[in-house]
Amino acid sequence: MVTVVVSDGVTFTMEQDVAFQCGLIADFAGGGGDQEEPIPIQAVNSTVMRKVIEYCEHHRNDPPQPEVPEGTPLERKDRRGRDAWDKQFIQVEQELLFEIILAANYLNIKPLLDLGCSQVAEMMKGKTPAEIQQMFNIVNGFTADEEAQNGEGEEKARNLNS
Amino acid sequence: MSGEMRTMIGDFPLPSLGLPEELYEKIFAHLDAKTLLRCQSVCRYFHTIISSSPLLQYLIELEIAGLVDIHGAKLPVAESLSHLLAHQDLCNYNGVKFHEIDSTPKSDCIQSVYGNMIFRAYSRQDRMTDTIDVGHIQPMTGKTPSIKWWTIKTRLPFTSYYAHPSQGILALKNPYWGSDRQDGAPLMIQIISIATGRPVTNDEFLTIPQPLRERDRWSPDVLHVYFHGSVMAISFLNSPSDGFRAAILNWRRPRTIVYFEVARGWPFVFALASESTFVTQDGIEVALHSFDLSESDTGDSMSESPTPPTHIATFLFPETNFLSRRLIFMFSPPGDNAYDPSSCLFKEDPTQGYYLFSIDLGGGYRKFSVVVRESAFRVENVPSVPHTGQPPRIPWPQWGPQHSRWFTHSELGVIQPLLRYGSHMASPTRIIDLNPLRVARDAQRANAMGGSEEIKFVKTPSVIRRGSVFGEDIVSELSYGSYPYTVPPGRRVTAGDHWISWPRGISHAF
Repeated sequence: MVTVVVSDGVTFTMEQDVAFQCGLIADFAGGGGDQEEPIPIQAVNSTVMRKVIEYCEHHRNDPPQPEVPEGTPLERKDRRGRDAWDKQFIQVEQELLFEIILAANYLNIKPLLDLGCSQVAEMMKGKTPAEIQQMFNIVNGFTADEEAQNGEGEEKARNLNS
Repeated sequence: MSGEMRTMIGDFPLPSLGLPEELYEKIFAHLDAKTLLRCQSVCRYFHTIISSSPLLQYLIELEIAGLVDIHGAKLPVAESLSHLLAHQDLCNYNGVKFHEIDSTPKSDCIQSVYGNMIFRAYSRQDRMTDTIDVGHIQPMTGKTPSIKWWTIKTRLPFTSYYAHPSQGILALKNPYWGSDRQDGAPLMIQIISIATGRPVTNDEFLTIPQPLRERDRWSPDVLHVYFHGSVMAISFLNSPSDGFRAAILNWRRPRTIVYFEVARGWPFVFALASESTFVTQDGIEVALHSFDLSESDTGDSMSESPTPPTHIATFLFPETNFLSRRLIFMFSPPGDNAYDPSSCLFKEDPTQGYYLFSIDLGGGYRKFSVVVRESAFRVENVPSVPHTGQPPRIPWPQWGPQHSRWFTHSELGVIQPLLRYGSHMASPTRIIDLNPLRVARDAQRANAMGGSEEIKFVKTPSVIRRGSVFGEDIVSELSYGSYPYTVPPGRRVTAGDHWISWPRGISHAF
């Protein structure tokens, strides 16, 4: 069993094969037996950690990424697409989504990070710049001149094999 | 991303996306080029991230170059990424052991040059081969180019090979087909990585059923294998009276195979124009056809497509040999493009019958297109203009639907695909004559006169910087229309009246 304590003081205890999907925890625990001291994870709060553990528990029985010879196109290395469960799992509020991405990055869980990133990308696809700005609450900070140039950029994007 | 960029974009408030920079890159890497270009105008922060990330620019690059299937439904971004990574693996020469090689080819080797790669296959006594020496020509830094050599040994012998260096693959044809006239045996093609020599397909071989017809006495041999992204076309060597045949398939997903056949003769040139169109050329007649490789639901076994390629258009060019190897013009289907000629950076005299323009895609990339005059494009309205080599004068606005295509980078000299991706960013653009016939003729003439290749510019370039070295007029920078052209180090360009010439270098030998 591995115990972690997150930023808001909540302690989580999980089995090793769940915990070790986080590269950070695996590194921390060093692969040796049960950990006595709880591992402090300051950058993650309990809400997000719950989500992360949910993900890790679901994927605990996934086969490890197979070793492939050098030079093989990655296509075959990473065929683990987003299955239905993953899709459902990542349907969360935007704020939580970004927190999950940050946590996955911090805890070093590559599949979860990819899942989160592809979800954000999915949200951006087919949207106009204005819609993206609105969605992410972004102030663009462009000058009028740059704005005009962006109009052209939009034109280019449309020309690009629509 | 460079340190300079970081300081530039320091403190943009992003209330809901407080992510570190490298995570933005990861997110954007899941996007297609179109959305990426759009994202550039979301905010300055996004703009800087996208335009300064070699990875993202390279993704855009790959799409533009047709190296990934841009029709997202067919090829998800994850796969585009894996193409990219495979490509990068090659760039890094993963698992490649370099060795010295005698620079003069031996007499028993078949040498061919594709882009900046040299291939030498050595025939054994049974006329088969299992060894290829691959040379990657390094960018010229001095007078002599240096070449990195490695050797691929294949598990099984082969008789011919066809390279696609920009994607890092070689197609090998097994020896038991065509040459021994064994009827009924399928054609076996193996696609291997140029870097490692290992198959890159899921199965070791692509098995292609023979396009045999009743009157065939033996299977026609393979004439050439063409690639465009993940689509490959195999043209067969028939006798001219027998018609021309080709088989087209997606080598990454060889489920559907399209056979193409013309009854009379065979075209001088055949080429894939995109992942759904190809061009044939027979004399002055260039024809555009479309095909559909969309997957049928027959599962994994390869099936013949029920729909043969559709003829889209035929167009005539005043001069033949328009589709030379040097500059294969490819056209997208009619109605697909709606470019505004006013956004062209460069327009050529429409009386030439075609013109070139480019659209700036940002990040140092340009899309180049060739536009063909409408009246010469319609099959039901083949112009009755006498074939004088001078198309009729038609004012600019009357130019019809614009048929254009992406130039590949090797053609424009923008990209050297085997360099590491980051180095693409600042590469200059080489402007080329639109008329390969003229280029070939001029090159020939120049060769006869002393071995320097000359490229005639349609329009006089203006020289920005020039000097004199040993009494010779040397130009280091020039511009052509609005294109700046920096003369690469190690290559001299002399400026004549409206001729630019440079010594025949190895990168211009093809």
